[in-house]
Amino acid sequence: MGEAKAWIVSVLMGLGHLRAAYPLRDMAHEGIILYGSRRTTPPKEYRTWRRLRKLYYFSSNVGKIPLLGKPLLDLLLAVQRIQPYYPRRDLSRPNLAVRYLDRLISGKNLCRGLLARLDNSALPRIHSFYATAMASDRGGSGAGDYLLICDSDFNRVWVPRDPGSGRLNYLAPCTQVRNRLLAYGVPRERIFLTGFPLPKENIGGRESLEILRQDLFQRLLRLDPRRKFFSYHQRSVLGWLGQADVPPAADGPFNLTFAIGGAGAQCDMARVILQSLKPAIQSARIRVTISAGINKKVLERLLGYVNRLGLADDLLDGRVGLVFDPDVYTYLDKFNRVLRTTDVLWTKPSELSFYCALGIPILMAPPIGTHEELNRCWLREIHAGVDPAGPLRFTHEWLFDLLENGRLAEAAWDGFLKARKLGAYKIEELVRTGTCTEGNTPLEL
Amino acid sequence: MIKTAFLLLVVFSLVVYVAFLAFTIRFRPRRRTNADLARHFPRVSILKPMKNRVDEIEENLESYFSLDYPNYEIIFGLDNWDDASLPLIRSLQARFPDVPVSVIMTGHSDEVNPKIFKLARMEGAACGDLLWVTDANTRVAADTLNRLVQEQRRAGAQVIFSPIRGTGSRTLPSLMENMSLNLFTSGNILTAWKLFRQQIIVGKSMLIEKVALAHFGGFRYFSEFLAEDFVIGEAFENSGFTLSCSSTWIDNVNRSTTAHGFFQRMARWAKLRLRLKPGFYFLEVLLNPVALALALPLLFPARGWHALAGVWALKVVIEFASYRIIAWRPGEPLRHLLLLPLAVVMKDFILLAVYFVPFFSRTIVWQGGDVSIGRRTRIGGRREQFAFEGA
Repeated sequence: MGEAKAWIVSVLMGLGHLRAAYPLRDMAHEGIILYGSRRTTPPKEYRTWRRLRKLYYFSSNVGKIPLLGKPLLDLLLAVQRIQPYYPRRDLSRPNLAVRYLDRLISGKNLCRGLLARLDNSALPRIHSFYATAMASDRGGSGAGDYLLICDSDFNRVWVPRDPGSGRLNYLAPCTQVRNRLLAYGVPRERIFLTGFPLPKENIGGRESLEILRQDLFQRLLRLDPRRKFFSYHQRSVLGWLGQADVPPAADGPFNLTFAIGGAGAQCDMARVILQSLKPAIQSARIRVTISAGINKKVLERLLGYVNRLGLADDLLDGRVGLVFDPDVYTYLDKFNRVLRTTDVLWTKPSELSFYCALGIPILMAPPIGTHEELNRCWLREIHAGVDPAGPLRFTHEWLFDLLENGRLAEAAWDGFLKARKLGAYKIEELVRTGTCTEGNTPLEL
Repeated sequence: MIKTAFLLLVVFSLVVYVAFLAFTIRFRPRRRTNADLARHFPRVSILKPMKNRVDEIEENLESYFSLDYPNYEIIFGLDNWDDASLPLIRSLQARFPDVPVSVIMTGHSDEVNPKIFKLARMEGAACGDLLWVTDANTRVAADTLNRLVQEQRRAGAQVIFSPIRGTGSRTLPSLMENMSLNLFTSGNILTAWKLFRQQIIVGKSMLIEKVALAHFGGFRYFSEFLAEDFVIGEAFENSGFTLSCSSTWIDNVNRSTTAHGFFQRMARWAKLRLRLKPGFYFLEVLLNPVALALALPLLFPARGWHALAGVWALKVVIEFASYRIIAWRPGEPLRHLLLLPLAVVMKDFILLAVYFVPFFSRTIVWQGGDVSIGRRTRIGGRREQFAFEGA
C-alpha cells in the first residue's frame, strides 16, 4: 500500500477552514499551504485576501454595531442565503456569489500564486476553501482536486458555475452535504462521503478508536452523576466502548469548554458565563476552559475578565483554563488536547459541530450566518446539540440541571453513534486508492 | 486672538516642563529610606539580552554583580559565542563566584523583535519568581533590586517600571541625550503615572512576575512588536494586571554618543511613539517651547525678541535644575554646566527636526538592519523579506 501524499491547501478565514485541513497534515506534501497569508501570496493578490479577511471579521461582528447592525446583518444573511433543500429540485443555477468568484478567478487571476506553486506536480490537491479549489481545478494539472466542505449544508458558491464540467471532487462530511451537492448539479461519482476530518490524536487507530472510546467512557461517567443515562443505555455503552462495567464514580470534575470564534465575537458571553459559574468554579464543582484562539485582543480581554472577577487564583490552580497561542498550529494542538477531557463543548454551531462525533455534546451558542443556522439544525436532528435551557446569567442553574437529568450524556452518546468520525482516515484512503468505504456501524462511520 | 492663543500655547509648553521638573524632583534618585527595603526575598532572575559593547559596560555589569539582594541569578543572552562581551562576563563571574550566572547562546532573528527573541529563549532558563529585564547600558545601585522587589510587594503589581537617569556624558550629543532622558522621558513617565495612572514603560528596566507573564505564553507573545516595552505594559493593563511605577531610578550610561547617534535614537523613538499613540504624538510639537518661541518675533514685532529670549532662558533654567538635581555626579567636569545652555537650544532644534521624521519614514535602523513598522509598531519585516516567498 503506497503512502498517501497530497497538497493540502487552506486559508485563514476564521479558524474553520484550517481546522478542517489540520488533521490531514500527516499526508501534506510540503506542509499545509495557508494561502492568502503574506508568505504564500504575491503582494498584489495578498491585498485582495486581506480585504476578504477583513470583510469576514467585520461580518462576524456586524450585529454589534449600534443601530446599523441589524439591517447590515440582514443584508449579509440575504447574500449568504442558502436555498431550502425541500422540495427537491435542480438548484444548479449559479447565484451572484458564484458569478463574482468566477470573475475573480478568470478575470483577476485569483490564486495565480497558488497555481504557480502547485504546477508540475502529479499529486492530488485537497482544499478546504472553495476559491482555491476552483482556481486549481481550472488550472487543470495534477492528479485531481478535492474540496472538503466545512459545514453540514452550504451555499451554491462552493460549486463552480458549471458543476458538470471540470474534475473537482467533493468530500462530504455528512449525508445532507451529499444531497445538496447533487441538487447543485455535481455528478454523483465526484462526491465522496468521508466525514469531517477530526484530529487523529483524539481518535486513536482507525480500527480500534481506542482514545475516543476511552475518553468517551470517562466523559459519560462525568456527564451522568445520577446514572440516569446509564440506566437506559448501559448495555449499548459497554458494548460499543468495550468496557466491562460501570464504575461507581467518575474521576475528576465536570469540564466545560467554551470556544470563542476566530473573530472573537463571543467574548462578552464568556464574561457572563464566568460570572455565573464563579461559585461553582471556586467550589471545584466545575472546571471551565475558554478557548481564545489566536487573537491577542481576545486573550487580553479574557484575562481581564478573569482578574476582575477575582478568578486569578483559579486560573493558577487550573479550575479556569485559557487556550491560546499566537501560532495557529500550536493553538490547534492545545485545543485538541483540551477536548480529550472536555465534557461539554459550548460553541456557536461552526465546523466544531462535527466534533460531536468524538462523543462531545455541543451546547449551542447563537449561530452567526446561514451556514451556522443549518449546522444547528443538523445538530438538533441527530440530537447531539443542546440549546441553553435559560439565560446566560443563570448558567449555574440550568447547566447543572442538564447535567443531572442526563441530557448532556445523551447528546454525547447520540453524537458518537450518528456523526462521522473517521474523515481523516477516509480521505487518506481515498487519496491512496481512489475510493473510500462509507461504513455502517458507529465504529466505521 | 491668534496671538493670544499662541502665547498661551508657549506658556502651556513651559508649564508642562515645570510639571515634569516638579515630578522628577519630587521622586528624584537618592530620596530613599531604609523603610523601603524588602524583608522577603523571592528569587529574581535578571535577564540581560546583550548586543554589541556599550559605554562603560564593565562598570554597568559589575553593578549587577554587586547587588545587596540575597536571592538572585543573572542570565545573559548572547547572539553567539563570539560575542565581544563574553570574556568580560567570564571575568566578572570569576570575580563574583557567589553570584549564579548563566550564559545562553540565543542566536538572532531578523523577523521578530530581536530583544524579545532573546528574552523568549532566556526565560526558559530562569528559576526566579520575578524576572528583571535590564539593558546592557544600565547601571544600578546596590540596593536597587531590593527596593524594586519591595515596591512590587507593596503595590501587588505584576509589572514594575522605573524612570531613567541619563549619566556619564563626555560629549555634547551625549549630554543632550541624557538631558532628554532626565527631563522629557522620565518626566513623562512619572507625570503620566502619578497624575493619570498611565503607563509609559521604558524597557531599560522592567520587573515582571513570571506567573503573570506565563498567562501570555511568555515573552514570545510580544515578538511582533518593536516597542515591546510599551506593548507589554498595555497587554498587562488590558488583562487586568497591576502595574506600578517605582521611584527607584535606573541609570542609563551614555558617554560617547555622536550627533548622528543621538539623532538616530531620537528619530527611532519618535517613530515608535507616532505608531503607538498618534493623537499624543501630534500634540508633542507643543512640548518644544524653544521651537515654538521662534514664532514670537513674527507675531509680536515689538517685544517678540524679548519674549523669545525669556522663553529660552526659562527652558535653560528648567533643564539646568533638572540636570543639577537629577543627574549631577560629584567630580563631573564643570564644562557640562557651562555647555548646558548651548546644549538645551541645540537639542530642542534637533528634536524639532526629529519630530517630522516619522511622518515620512516608517523604517527603523536597529541592531544591524532596517525594520519597517506598522500600527502599534508591528514589525513588517526586514526590507529584503518583503519579497514574495511563495512560488
